[in-house]
Amino acid sequence: MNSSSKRTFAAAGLAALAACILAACAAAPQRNDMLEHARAVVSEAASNPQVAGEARIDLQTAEDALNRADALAKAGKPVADVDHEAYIAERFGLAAQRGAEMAVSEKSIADANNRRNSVLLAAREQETARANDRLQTKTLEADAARSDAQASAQAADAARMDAQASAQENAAAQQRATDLAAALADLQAKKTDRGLVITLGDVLFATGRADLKSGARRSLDKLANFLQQYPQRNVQIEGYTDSVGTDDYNVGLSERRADAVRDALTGMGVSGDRIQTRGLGKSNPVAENDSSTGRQQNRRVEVIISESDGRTATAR
Amino acid sequence: MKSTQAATAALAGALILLSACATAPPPPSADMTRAKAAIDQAQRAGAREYSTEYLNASIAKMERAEAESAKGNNALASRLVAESYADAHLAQVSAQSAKSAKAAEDVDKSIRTLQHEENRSNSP
Repeated sequence: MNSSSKRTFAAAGLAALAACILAACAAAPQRNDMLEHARAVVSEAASNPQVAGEARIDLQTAEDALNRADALAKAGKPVADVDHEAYIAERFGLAAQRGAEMAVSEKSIADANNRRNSVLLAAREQETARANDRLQTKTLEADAARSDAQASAQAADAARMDAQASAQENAAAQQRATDLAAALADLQAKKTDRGLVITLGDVLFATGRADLKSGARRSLDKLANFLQQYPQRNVQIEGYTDSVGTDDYNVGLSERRADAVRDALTGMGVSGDRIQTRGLGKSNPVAENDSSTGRQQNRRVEVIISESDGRTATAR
Repeated sequence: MKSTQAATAALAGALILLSACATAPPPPSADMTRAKAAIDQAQRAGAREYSTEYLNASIAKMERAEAESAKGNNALASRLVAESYADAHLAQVSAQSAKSAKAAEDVDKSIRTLQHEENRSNSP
């Protein structure tokens, strides 16, 4: 071996060393961003349960490319080679994800008819329930209206009957008032501050006597009838004389005449409890005693009719 | 000497042939056809509207592939064609997925509207 060949040998040794160093550099595990990104995409697609059908085929393609990329990287092949396979892996990994999303959307669309039908069904059920509610409400309202109408009719009947009764009562009251007025007019009753007063003139009695003439009976019949018709009314009978004769005589005579009238009335069926009598003699003259006409007016019996509560005004 | 020269020439010829085989693979015409078909399919699926980025990448790579192929860089061209195909496929699936999602959303919306209408018309 000469010097020249020695140099050649040394150069070859250096070259081999350099090659070894270079190879070591290439083989050293390098972090490849493209590859790691592709791995993440493929891994995400692989863990998606919706990946099926064509998406499944895309995922398989992606995984194959990823494996090739890993193998190239492990073998220390040029970065461009690794990147190429990583790129393919990433694209198909994304395609698998998009395909899975598409499947979900398509399933949702396929379900749409069912969902729409269930909405319509629910709406119909709701509508039916509501219609039933409305029907029930209407029925209840109709029932209530019918009851109301019946109640109203009854109330109207009652009101009509009340009105009739009132009218009848009014008519009766009016009739009673008319009757009373007529009866009192018939008795020739005079309204005075002591009440209604009927004056029986002395023509009913014989002079100086206390027994009634037969003609007096007709007048007293009317009074007895009146008292029987109006049982709440009582009477006070007061006898009066003129001024002729002694007071004792006159008072006695006037008492007897009042009593005679009472007896006549009780004889006609009027209860004695309802009758009071007094003899007042020559007191309370209604005319002068200096003429025969005046004295005749003073000789009288007054019958005072009580109010309907049975009481007469205070005696004078 | 002659025989030695002849042998050397034969070896050189074989080496040239071998090197031609190694450095100049055939142009990727079949893959290119497949990738172009995928681009067409993606465009028909609405990729221009729904996945423009992927579609543009696919077309750009296809153009580069054709340029490299014309220069005789068939290995690089082949790689670009494969990537162009992957881009086109992703563009197509993305466009279909986006369209499906939109359709599903429309259907959802119409059902929600229907439900709303029914609820309103049913409310007392």
